[in-house]
Amino acid sequence: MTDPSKNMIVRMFDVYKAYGKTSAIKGVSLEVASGDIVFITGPSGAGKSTLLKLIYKAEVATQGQIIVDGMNLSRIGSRQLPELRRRLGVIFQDFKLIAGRSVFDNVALVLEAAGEKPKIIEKKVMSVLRTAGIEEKARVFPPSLSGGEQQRVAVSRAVVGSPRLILADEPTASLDPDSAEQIMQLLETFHARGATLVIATHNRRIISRLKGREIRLERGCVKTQEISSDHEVEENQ
Amino acid sequence: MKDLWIRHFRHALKDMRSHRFLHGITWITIVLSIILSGTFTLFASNAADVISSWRAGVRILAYLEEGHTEQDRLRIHNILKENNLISDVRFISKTEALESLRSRMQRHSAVFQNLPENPLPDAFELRVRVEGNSWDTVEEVALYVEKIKNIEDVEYGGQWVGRFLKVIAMLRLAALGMGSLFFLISVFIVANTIRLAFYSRKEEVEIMRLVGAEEGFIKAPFYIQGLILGFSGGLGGMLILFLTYITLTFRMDATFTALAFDFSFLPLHTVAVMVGVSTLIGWMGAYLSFRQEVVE
Ligand SMILES: Nc1ncnc2c1ncn2[C@@H]1O[C@H](COP(=O)(O)OP(=O)(O)O)[C@@H](O)[C@H]1O
Ligand SMILES: [Mg+2]
Repeated sequence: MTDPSKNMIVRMFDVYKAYGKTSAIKGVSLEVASGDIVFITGPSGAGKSTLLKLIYKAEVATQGQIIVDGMNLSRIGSRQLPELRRRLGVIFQDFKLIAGRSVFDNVALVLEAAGEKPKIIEKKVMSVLRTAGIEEKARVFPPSLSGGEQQRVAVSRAVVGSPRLILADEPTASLDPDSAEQIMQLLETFHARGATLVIATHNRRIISRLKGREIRLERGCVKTQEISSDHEVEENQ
Repeated sequence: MKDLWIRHFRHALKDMRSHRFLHGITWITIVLSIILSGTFTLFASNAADVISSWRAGVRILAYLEEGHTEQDRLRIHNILKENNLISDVRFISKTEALESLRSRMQRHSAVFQNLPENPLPDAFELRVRVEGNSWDTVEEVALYVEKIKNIEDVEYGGQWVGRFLKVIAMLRLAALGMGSLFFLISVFIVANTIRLAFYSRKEEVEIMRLVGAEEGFIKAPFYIQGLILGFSGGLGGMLILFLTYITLTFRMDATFTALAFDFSFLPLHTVAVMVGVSTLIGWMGAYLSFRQEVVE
């Protein structure tokens, strides 16, 4: 299992999530240590997206405890929700960029919401866009960008606030292999700068490329938790 | 802090521009509401001035017959003084009356320039206390005075004044009723407009929530829209009312002067209150639009 001396940034205890009659998550317990790279894998419909949504509280667990960066999600009200979200960077499967705002404004939004000064916003946004290689697209509107470029904007937005935890839901699913490779490099860069990564994916290439731990979901249950793809640990249900 | 408000303001103006038709209609609704309630308030406020001058005592003029003697005058003066419904008695000689008329109508002074003789009669000016809104006392006194020997005629507001009080009371009620109705209508229309502006940004709002924006941050531009609508609508309505007032009173100046009736515009503090209420309409509209937002 994970090293207990490490600081846990995500902990789940026996978590259930049902959408009406459909059970998407059934008794999941897991821990993510600070600085880890964790892949959530499994077939379509296994509950990967739901698991991530539970972490940034877009969905509320039906049962069980979730603690993210010291915040017990069942205890926080709508008032503390923005605080939680600002501590995380989320890369959504469908990008979720605002079509009517420039790339710069999309990324800047996070810092504006956090009450940063315009000068600092300008500096941080341009710096992150430079890292993502889309500096020259700052004034462009998202709909005129390619899928790969849009995803780089989405990554930029997720990391611009220097979150300790980055959640990514199939960040390469809709991309060609080259773009996927660039996105992974980008995520690697931010991991190297200290962020914890939790990535839902079924792209084997990505998993083998980044050294990380794999948590495999099947029909809402944790099937295996393996560390760097050769050491398997059976999960007690 | 300042930059943040500039940002909210920019977003508010951008929304108002992209929904200019709806915002325009809403603005016009507020302006019309303010003009209509303002008009009622204007009449009520002038009526209140008249009434408060009556509270000090209604003025009755008792004209003396031509050719009365000094003794007649003294006798009448005593009779009037003894009546305890009459609070004040003053003799106004015909010369005094002409002087005062001249000074009131300086514009038309040519008319009075070369009068062969003073056409005005001597008179007593009486004041009768009005208890409550009752006009009966005044009429009673007027009838009594008219019967005194050597009194030619009695002039007072006449019957219309008595009705006036009732009309004023109704006017006030109407002003209050209309005001409240316009207030509610305006609030609902503002709420509707802002809800629409908000819903057209639904996706954006959802994204802002996901990246951790506070509700206040998300909603501030919409509150600003409401405040801009309310404030500018109130100001616009008051301005239009004032310009209308200026135009009309300028034309009718002579008439008003002849009636010795001063029809003044709303006092500044009332204007401020009305613009304030209008701004409140905008704020309440925004507030209401969020109250009705479906909680997810
Ligand atoms: N909003 C929702 N309403 C109802 N059912 C849902 C909803 N989201 C997901 N599900 C169901 O929950 C299960 C897990 O879905 P999801 O977490 O999206 O899986 P994955 O991301 O691994 O493909 C699926 O059976 C899916 O149909
Ligand atoms: Mg999914």
